[in-house]
Amino acid sequence: MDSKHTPSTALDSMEFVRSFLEATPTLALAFFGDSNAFVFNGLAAERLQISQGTQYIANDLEISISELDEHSPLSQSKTPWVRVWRGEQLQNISLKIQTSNAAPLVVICSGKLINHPQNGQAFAALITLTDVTAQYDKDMLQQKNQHHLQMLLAGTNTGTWEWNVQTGEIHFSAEWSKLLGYSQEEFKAFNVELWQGLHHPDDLPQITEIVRAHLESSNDSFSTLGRIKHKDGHWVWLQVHGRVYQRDEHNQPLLLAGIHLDVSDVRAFEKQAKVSESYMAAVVNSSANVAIIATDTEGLITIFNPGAQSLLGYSEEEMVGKQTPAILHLESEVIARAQELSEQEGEEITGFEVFVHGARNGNVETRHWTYIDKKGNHRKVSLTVSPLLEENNKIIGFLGIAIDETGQRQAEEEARLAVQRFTGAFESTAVGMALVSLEGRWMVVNDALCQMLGYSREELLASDFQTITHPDDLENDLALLKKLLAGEIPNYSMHKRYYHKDGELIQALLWVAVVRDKDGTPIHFVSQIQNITEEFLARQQLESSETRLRGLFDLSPIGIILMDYKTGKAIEANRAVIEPTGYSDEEFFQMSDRELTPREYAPAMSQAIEQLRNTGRYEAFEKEHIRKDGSRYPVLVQGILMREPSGRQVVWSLVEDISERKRLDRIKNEFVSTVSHELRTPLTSISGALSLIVGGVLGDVPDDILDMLTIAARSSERLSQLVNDLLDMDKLLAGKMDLKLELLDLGPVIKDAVSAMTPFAASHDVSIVSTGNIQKQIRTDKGRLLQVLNNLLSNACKHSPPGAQVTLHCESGPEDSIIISVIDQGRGIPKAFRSRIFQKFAQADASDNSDTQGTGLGLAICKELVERLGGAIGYESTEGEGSHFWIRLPRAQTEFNFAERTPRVLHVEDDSDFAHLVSLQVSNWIDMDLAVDLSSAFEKIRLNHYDLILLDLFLPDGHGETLWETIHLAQPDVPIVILSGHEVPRKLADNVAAVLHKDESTLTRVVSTLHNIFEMGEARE
Amino acid sequence: MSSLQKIAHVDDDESIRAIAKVALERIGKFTLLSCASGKEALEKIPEFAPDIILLDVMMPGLDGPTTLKQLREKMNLDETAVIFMTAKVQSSEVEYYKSLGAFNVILKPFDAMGLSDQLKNYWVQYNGE
Repeated sequence: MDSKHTPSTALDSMEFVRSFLEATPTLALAFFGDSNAFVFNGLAAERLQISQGTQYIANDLEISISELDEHSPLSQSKTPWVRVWRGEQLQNISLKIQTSNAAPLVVICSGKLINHPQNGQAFAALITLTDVTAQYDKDMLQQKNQHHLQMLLAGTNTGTWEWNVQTGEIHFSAEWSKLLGYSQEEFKAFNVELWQGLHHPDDLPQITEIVRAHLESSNDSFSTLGRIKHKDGHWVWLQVHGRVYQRDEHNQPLLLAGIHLDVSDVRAFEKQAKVSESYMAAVVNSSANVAIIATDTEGLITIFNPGAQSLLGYSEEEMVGKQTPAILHLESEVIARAQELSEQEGEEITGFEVFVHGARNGNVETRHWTYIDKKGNHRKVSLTVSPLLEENNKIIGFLGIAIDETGQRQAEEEARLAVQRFTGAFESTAVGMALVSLEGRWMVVNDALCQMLGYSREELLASDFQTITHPDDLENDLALLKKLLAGEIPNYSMHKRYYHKDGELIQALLWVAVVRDKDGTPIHFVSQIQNITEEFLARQQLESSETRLRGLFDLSPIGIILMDYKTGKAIEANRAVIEPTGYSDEEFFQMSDRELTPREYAPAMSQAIEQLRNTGRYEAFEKEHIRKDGSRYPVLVQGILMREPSGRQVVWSLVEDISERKRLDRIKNEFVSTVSHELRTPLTSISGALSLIVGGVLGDVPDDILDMLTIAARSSERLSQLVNDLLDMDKLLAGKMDLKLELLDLGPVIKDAVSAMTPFAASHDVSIVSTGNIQKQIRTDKGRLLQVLNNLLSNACKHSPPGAQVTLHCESGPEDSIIISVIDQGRGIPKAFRSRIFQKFAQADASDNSDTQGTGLGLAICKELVERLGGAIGYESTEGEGSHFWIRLPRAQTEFNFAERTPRVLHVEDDSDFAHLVSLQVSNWIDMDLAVDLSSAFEKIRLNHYDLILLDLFLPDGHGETLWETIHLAQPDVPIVILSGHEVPRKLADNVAAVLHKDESTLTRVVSTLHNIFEMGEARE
Repeated sequence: MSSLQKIAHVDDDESIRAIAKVALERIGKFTLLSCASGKEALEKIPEFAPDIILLDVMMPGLDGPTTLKQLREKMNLDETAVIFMTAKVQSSEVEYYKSLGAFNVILKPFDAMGLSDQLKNYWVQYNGE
């Protein structure tokens, strides 16, 4: 039916219909819906036994049409022609058509509507009917056979198929279709290519090969497995059985038929089993953390996986075949559990049964056990025992899965401890700790906090931090909290004040952090509050004491300056330092000490620095500072070296402006000078007048008056002497005694001294004799030497009995010295007086002044003078046998250099063998001198200067203490070391440089002691 | 050497002058000129031409050194031993006085009984014993 042939008029249309009908090689008819009439072509008329070309009204027509397998005809509206007339297009519908005259025909029916060319309305429905009756009958037969088969296969999930090998046509049963989720229609026009496409690509080659082999061979049938795609997309496992059942005339296979059996379930089961098995194997073999031990029903180990191996340390070989629990379990645990079970079950359960009792009854049981590994370590495990069952539920063994809990338990234990520790810390810490709600309410507080704030826990928990915060600190605290909540800061700390319950202020250091949940939402705050009230007060106190010290520093009338040791620049200086200089503070701090000090003081400054370096301080010395205007003023400075914590070395110095002191000194000197002059002038008159009267110059005076005048004259003399001595002493102590050194002949000096004292000696009925060698020269101050000699001589005269002689003896000493002795025959020096003999205003017996008139300053002045002259003074005295005072003076004032000289030591020791031994020990560095008794010791001391005396106490002619007394008082700088085999009196031991006892280690100790003393001595220089 | 005969004593203190007068005239049998001030000394000493002048240092008006200086302008003191008397004992002062041309210094208080002998000794020394 070609559209080109569409007629253009009704007539034409009718003609077209007729020609179409006649031209159709099959049965054909036209149905005119308007008139309800049919027109058949010849072929149709013949087969349906109706007249050709006759137009039949439908009602008149004895024709029924029905579905193939239906007996009742289709209703009018369902007939193909009516359906086409209504616009439906039909194609290849199988129907059964029958007229009253003819046998039914099976036809395949197609149809198309032709419209009227003029009005466009439906004109005729053209229907073609292909007669397939013969074929249908044949099919029906076949269908019957197939039906039997289908009936057979129904319910076994078996689909049948038939394949025409030569045409490639394939037919499937409805069951087959169902197997794969298709409707049978969908497989109507099926061919081998489509069929192959449904197969799993992995299976296709095998199936193809099998079928090919079957076709070529004479095998009865073939059978294979394969997967075909279900309409849903999943694969369906099919068991295929097939055979050739019809061959053509050449005996070539024509039709192949067979069944497909759905075996997906079987396959799935197998597969699952396989997967489980491999999964199990993987689990069993690969799990290092899980120990898996399988046994047979009797407890012999069949599986011992790597997890078990690593847990227990045994190898698989060692354990498979072994009886469990033999060596793996803690016996005590097994026994305990056995007892428990036995009681519970009322029968005795022991050994392996303890573990599998539950499993045997179908229970899977998990218990904690202790395993013992190969090294003997205990391993806590959680052991799950389950039965291994066959399909008939028969137990074939047991499976134990053990999880090592040691680590887990440890972790749990650690977590528990951590919590405990935190709780402990929270509670026991001295720092206040609290969890605080976002609103500021106390949520959890520790004891320390309660104690700190004075509230009970309940009181505190009912409150918030704002309430007890000092109002001045609250704003700051809240601002920080806000920042904390906003995440701007991770935490904060601040110094703030809380109110104690009793109202006292608490100074505290607060530290706050915020705790957030996992989404970052703040939950609460954690606060630490440390009470720093004490520290705060201490600091305040420190600050105030610093302020006080600063005040002292600023106000001190004595200058205080802190200088950098290295640069000499001032770091700090108070007003008393800066003001006298005339510089501004700024200017002053730019200057170094050296710039401030005139150049001539450089040596003194260097010496001070040297002292600082060696001893950490420098002795007070005078220097000058230069003012801004160039003028100078005297200062007395002294200081110490300190190391600051930073390591910087600084010097603290006291700088005393001594301008005023100097001025006062001058005034005092003038005063003393004036006073002495003013005193002496009238004294001169008094004593002069009296002495002239008493001397009889003015004639006789009555005896009783003369007595009085004599007393007055003597007293005035004494007063004159006192004034002189006072002035001398003052000058000596002030260091103002000027010495006028000159080279003198000793002889005239001695003569002067004797002649000057002769009248005085005569008044005591004492004679003075000069002995020894006086043909010497000496460089000294004549006036001072005479003063000393006069003093010693007048003392000797005063203490001599009438008629006695005082000897003035001169001799040369070693080292170019001169020793002058004054020896009397008096009472000697009382023991009690010796310790004070060179002190000022000392007199042997103050109550007895009948013949011992003096000021008590004489010997003190002598000692001072002799030392100033570079000499030494000493005495030897035996009570009742007179005294022997001596002075030793250098013949020339020489520079005295201690360090370069070999030290000279006097060893006073009666055991000369021992002394020799000592001397040998030190002979290479000490010049050792020996005195075997006291008298020779005194002699040696008088003649020589010694740097040290090594003194034995018990000597043939007395006790060493006598020697100590005179040395200790007259030459206190000379150290004395007592070396004795006897107990040393405390008074002595406390006043000597060292006390050594004679024993076996004496020699070495003597050496080391001497060494120490001289080393220190050198260091001091 | 002529023997010591004439001594001039200058001192503002009247009692010292009195004692010196007794000591020197009675004990030493010297001819004494006592002056109460430097001014008086300048007036009388040149005419008196003493062997020794005992000159007090501290005097109101003209002190000892000044008196000596002015006296030296008035007369030749080559043959005259000038001896200062002072209560000051600093050796530097002694040096100073000697530098002014004093032969020696006698410290106060002096020994009145021995003063004449002392001056005789100095006179011997002065004349180059």
